[in-house]
Amino acid sequence: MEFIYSLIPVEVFWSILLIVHGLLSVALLGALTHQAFSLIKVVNRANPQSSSVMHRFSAVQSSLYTRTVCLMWVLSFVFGGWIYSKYRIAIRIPMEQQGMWLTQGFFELKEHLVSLGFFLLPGYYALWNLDTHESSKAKKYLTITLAMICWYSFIVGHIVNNVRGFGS
Amino acid sequence: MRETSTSHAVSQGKPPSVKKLFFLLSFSFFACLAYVCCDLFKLPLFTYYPAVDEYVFGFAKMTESQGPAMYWYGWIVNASLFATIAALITTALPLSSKTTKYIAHLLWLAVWGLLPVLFNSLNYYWTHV
Repeated sequence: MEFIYSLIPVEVFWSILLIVHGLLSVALLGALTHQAFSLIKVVNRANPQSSSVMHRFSAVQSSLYTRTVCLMWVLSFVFGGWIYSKYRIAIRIPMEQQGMWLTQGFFELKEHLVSLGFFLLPGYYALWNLDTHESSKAKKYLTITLAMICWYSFIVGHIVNNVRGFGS
Repeated sequence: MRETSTSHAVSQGKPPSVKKLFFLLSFSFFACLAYVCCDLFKLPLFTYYPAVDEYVFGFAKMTESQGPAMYWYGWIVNASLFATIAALITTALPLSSKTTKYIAHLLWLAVWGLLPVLFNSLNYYWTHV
């Protein structure tokens, strides 16, 4: 770390990591949302040639997203876990001093939910491989649950960064 | 436009065995439960002090010299270890398609069931206003 800090300022290094974490999260959010929408079946069955945005958004071969979602979640989780140690010192302590308890609470809840999502990935991968009629509902509800966790985490992470990002 | 399809499995080559998939399902379920238990009962495998970059085995409190303590990394490792053992035991038991179906539904139900527990565990933040 000392070598990196000799090349670029400390706060710049952590900001780069945060940006990478954010970009990975955007990719994950897109993949999961596409997959979840395709399972909800927003596609207009009566008019399969419909050119509406919602139709096009959900008309994807959803199984293709599974590996991408797993990979993106793991990468985003690793970067998030790395940043978390710096957050504990440089972000959380000043936020405590400013009395931002609710913001911190929602951020801690995000960390818990993201961890549960991380542990759900093997099961999610298995369900998308099982491909039986019996598991299709579980697959649908689990994918939607993961998408909701991802959206919640993305929004809360964004808010915390707005409240107090690295270097602020 | 591409055809909407959710019926295709992910694997393009040889499909994974049912036992292997059941292990993955069981791991996910037990890991979620173990993670929440680790949080509630303060059971990290190790405690990390980010200010001084030090690790201590098990649960350790914040100190003046070491600064704030982090347990999250320790919970992740502990939950993974517990879930691996529990999933290996569960997978060794006789399987039926009903078992797979039930544990598949338990995955997403576990998240929604554990959410109020996690929310309550953060009560300090909701009431400390």
